[in-house]
Amino acid sequence: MDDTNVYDLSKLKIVVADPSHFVRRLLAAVLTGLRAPHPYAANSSDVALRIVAETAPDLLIVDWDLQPMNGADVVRALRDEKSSPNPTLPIIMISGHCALGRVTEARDSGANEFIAKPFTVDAIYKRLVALIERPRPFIRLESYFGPDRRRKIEEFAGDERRRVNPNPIVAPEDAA
Amino acid sequence: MTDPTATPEQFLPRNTIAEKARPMPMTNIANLYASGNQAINEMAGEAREYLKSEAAELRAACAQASVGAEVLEPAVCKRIMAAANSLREVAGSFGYGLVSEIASSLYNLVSNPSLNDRRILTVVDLHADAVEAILRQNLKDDGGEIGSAIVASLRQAVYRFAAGN
Repeated sequence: MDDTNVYDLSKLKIVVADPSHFVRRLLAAVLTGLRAPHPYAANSSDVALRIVAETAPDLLIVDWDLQPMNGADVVRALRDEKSSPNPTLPIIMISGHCALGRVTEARDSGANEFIAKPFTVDAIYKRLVALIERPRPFIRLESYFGPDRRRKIEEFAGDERRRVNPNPIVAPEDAA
Repeated sequence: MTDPTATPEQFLPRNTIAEKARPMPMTNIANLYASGNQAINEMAGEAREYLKSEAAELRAACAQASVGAEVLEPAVCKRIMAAANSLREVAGSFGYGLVSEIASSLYNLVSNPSLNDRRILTVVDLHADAVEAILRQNLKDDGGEIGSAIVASLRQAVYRFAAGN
């Protein structure tokens, strides 16, 4: 039995960036079927970055094959704290290329979640619920800024070998 | 250069998705999925036409290849891979899992530079035939016995091509 919690997504602002007109429409149909509002749509990396800057969305769903920057480069640009309008924006990467190397690169670019195409309704919904219920802490390193790349942090039983700050920094928005 | 001993900063950013998404404990998840799937079903006819057009695109890409060339031109390769990727990415969402599988293996085949031989066009053509047959007969998921036969014949064609026959 699927015990996934149900959420009203009607207040979310979502941007969908995919080079395929058909896939953009399909994603929009699925999201509205899940009772989210009709998303903003971008057919290129330039349009995606502009819409993100202009609309302050809650979520970006970006395809790997975007042009002229690919999806991973779009994620890296948005994780750049110096220039991004929202470096902690939740981002789901979608792609038909699902080799392990591609998934790893998506993760290393700073995407929060990855969805393989062809996608299903429940795959999309479950990633949304993961962002709601199990948000990953962000890590700031000299070489990386983005969600913690270790997926099952709570299930790790061994010694803590990574040097983690015992006093997490609170994001400026939360400190107010 | 990155200092490997540097201590990473860790924090939980503001989660606007969690702030805006209101729990609906009385709503059945199955009903929500049904609503999402209904949205997909409403695009099913359009999806079939889209998939047919991408199969036609495979043939058009083959026709673009220069007759005299022994190796496949990069533009032709790119066009075949784009069509195969479109088929792979969309078909499975509409129940045509076999089309996604076939398109995925075609994509991997054509993207392999060591197989960059004009004879591969015959294999591409057979894949387009297979996609069209699956759509014509509306074979869903793995396509059952007919699907297995289609996969077996494509596999044989790929083996023949790889063996140089």
